[in-house]
Amino acid sequence: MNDRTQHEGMDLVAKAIAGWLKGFILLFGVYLVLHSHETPGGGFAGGIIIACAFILFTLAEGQHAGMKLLSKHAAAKLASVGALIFLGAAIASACRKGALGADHAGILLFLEKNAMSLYDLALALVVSMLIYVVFSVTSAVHVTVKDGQRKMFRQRRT
Amino acid sequence: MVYALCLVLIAIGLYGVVVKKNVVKIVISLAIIEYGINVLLVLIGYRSGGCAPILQQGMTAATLVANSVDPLPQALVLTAIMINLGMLILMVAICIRLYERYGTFDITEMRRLKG
Amino acid sequence: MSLLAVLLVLMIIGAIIAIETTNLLSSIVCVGAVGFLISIAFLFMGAPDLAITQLVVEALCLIILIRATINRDLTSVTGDREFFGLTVTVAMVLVCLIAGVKVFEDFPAFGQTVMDRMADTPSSVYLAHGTEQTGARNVITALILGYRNYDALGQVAVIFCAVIGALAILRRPAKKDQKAKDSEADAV
Repeated sequence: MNDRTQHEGMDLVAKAIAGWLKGFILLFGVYLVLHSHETPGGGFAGGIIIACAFILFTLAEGQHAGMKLLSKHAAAKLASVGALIFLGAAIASACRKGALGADHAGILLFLEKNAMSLYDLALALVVSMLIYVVFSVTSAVHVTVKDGQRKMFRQRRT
Repeated sequence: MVYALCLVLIAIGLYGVVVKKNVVKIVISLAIIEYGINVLLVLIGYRSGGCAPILQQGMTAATLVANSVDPLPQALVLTAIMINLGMLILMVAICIRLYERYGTFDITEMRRLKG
Repeated sequence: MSLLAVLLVLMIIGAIIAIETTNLLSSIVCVGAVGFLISIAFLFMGAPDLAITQLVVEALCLIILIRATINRDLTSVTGDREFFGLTVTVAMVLVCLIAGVKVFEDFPAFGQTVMDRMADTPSSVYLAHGTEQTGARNVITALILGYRNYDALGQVAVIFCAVIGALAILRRPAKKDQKAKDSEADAV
């Protein structure tokens, strides 16, 4: 087991560069999300960039290290929390104003002033975590397929 | 003329969807159709020499209205890009499952192996 | 205008190569090239938000598509479907193309927006009052998260449903099922 975790992922250069780079990529994603009201960017692009930081780490260090950093279930829970925040803010402001967000409708005064940032954060949370979950699931299937059993199955059939 | 080039892009994707046998090729053709439609929508809102719809320092709203490109198609296309991403994820998942089930990407063979 | 035309011609070349090449991996790389060209085109069309989003989405699409096709047969499935069907479909695609060109004669000329033709379009209202009403200097953000926030809500729902569907499709079968399948394979 120990041997396997050591040889997982790419070689040393890729690991070192990914370890350096992932913090900066994460920072850039958070910057895009938080400054979306004055610079180009926004919740979608920022969320995908945050997901890309995790994906880079997983690709370089291997599946086990990536899962140790942020497991699939934790990511799914975070995505659900983001979606619930979005839905809750939407319902709260719809109950109060009849219109969503356009004139700073929110639950508290602070939220009223920062409604759009709240929506943006929720959006980024949902998008990044969902994409990380999808990535980890496709890679898991890739490992199960790789052992060649399916191919043998197919050859026997044809 | 630029609109016609976008239409050519869409037509190429349509041709790929209808003619190709490989499932992954069909997914790629759908992605090309999406690209063509996105570029077309943004081109409709383009104003020659226009700036991005961002209020910069020292600009008033009136100059923005006079100079900026149309923001509405851009917002809709931003939505469309993300929905296309979700669609592509779903299609790729179906492709992986089909490959596991049938051992091939060929759609004609899938029809034969059914049942 | 000419720059956009050049970019579009490059995109068309990339799309043709992506569809017609036999190797699946090079096909995916070609469609990635088309996506990055579109990102550049968005940048020249005054849409930096779209350029950033398209760039990262394209990188992600490449990763997911390559994950889906790597270690599987890349070149064995080539060729087209039946000849008669092919001619009919090509004819229909051509008809669609010609009809589309006819339709676009009624559109505003290239370089003119709807705002130039009419006085009070939604776009000009958003541009004029977006910053003071929502507090966002980026009008696109004001549109997506302010005026059209239900749109964003529906979009989150769509992505959520798509990912849940993908997880349900890709879920590993239960142990019992797997055993049954293996024994079936042995029997055959």
